[in-house]
Amino acid sequence: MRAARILMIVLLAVTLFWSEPSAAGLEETSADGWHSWHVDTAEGDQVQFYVLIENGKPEKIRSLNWNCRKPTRDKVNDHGTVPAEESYAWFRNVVEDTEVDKRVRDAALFGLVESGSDDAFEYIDQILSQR
Amino acid sequence: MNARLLLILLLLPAIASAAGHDRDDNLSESDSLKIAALEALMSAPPEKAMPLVDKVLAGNHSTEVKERALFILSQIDSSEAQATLLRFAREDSSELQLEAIRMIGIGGDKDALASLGDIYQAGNRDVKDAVLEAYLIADDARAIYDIAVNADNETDFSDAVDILGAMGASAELRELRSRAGLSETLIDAYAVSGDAATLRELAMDNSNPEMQTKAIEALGIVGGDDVDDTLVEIYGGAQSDEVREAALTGMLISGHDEGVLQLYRSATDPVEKRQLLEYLVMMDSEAIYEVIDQALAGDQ
Repeated sequence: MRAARILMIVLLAVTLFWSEPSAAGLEETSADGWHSWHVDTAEGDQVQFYVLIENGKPEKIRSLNWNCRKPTRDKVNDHGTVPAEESYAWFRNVVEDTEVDKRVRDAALFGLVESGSDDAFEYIDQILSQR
Repeated sequence: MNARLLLILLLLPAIASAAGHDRDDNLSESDSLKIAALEALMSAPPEKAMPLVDKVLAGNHSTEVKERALFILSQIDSSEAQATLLRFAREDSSELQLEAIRMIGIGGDKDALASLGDIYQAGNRDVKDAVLEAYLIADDARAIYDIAVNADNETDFSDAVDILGAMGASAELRELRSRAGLSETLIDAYAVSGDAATLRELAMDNSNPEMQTKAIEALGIVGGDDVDDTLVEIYGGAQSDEVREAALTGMLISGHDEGVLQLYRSATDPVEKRQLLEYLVMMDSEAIYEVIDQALAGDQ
């Protein structure tokens, strides 16, 4: 009986581990592997982001809407709903990280814009206003 | 991200290359970042993207950055974006004018495309070429037909007809024949567009021997089994040396050495046999060895 209860707890823990959103926002996205979160935009859409971290740096960035298939069958660390500003800040860090491949930094610009925060457009304006 | 945007992102390298943006490797780091930022605006709502793109176009930026801004405009679904593109297409006199015209073609907005007609009429050669290119990109054969049918000089007419040929716009090219009369330019376009039916009709019409021989030769460009049979048939029924030679040239172009060999075998006139043999040599045909073997064996 006790073994059955332990098994139940383990199963529950595994289920939670694989599918429940983390409450930690984007603070824990440095671990290698796939991470995902979504942003509810001002237009009423939901944008889902998938990011592959390798050696602590983003290697792939995918932004999808609800009807797109997720880009991996591997385990994904789902960070749940994230405020637009937090998503923007995460992507901005990637854009400004010169150790990240340029292709990924360019993709981060799309993620930054798709996060939909006003700060994102101010940041794009800053880039475009550079001399 | 909607399907259109996804398609644009997938096609972006090809579109950018076609639009002359394959110079990105030589861009400064700053310009490269600006271009990436502009491209990211394609995923933004038009009302957010437009002010930023407008600001770039009005500012002091490199031609490459401004050209990419024009491309972004072509992908923004708003009348304001199309109006800005048209303003550059009409008023600017630099490379940006030509780029704006091409971007109207890429954007494919019907009203903006229709406005290119006036820009063509008032433009210099470069502008006219850019407008034709825009219509080609937008697959607007009707607009190019209008340019051809209203052309008041041979250059404008032939440039438009060449594009129609490349587009495979057979219906428009046939219509042009009745409106503008037959010309070598049109025959070339029938060949490029693969319109064997029209060329066959012209090849059988001996009322204009010059056009007839041109059409027979052009059939060779179209090629294919039916055309090859037609060329052999034309050769066999030819009433003049010019028609006979045109049919041979057609077979040379289409690579129909089997037909030439067949004619060689059935020919009885030594002069004709010699000419057919010369064509087989020109065609670098394997059949020539067969003929030589037969000649050595005393068959022919």
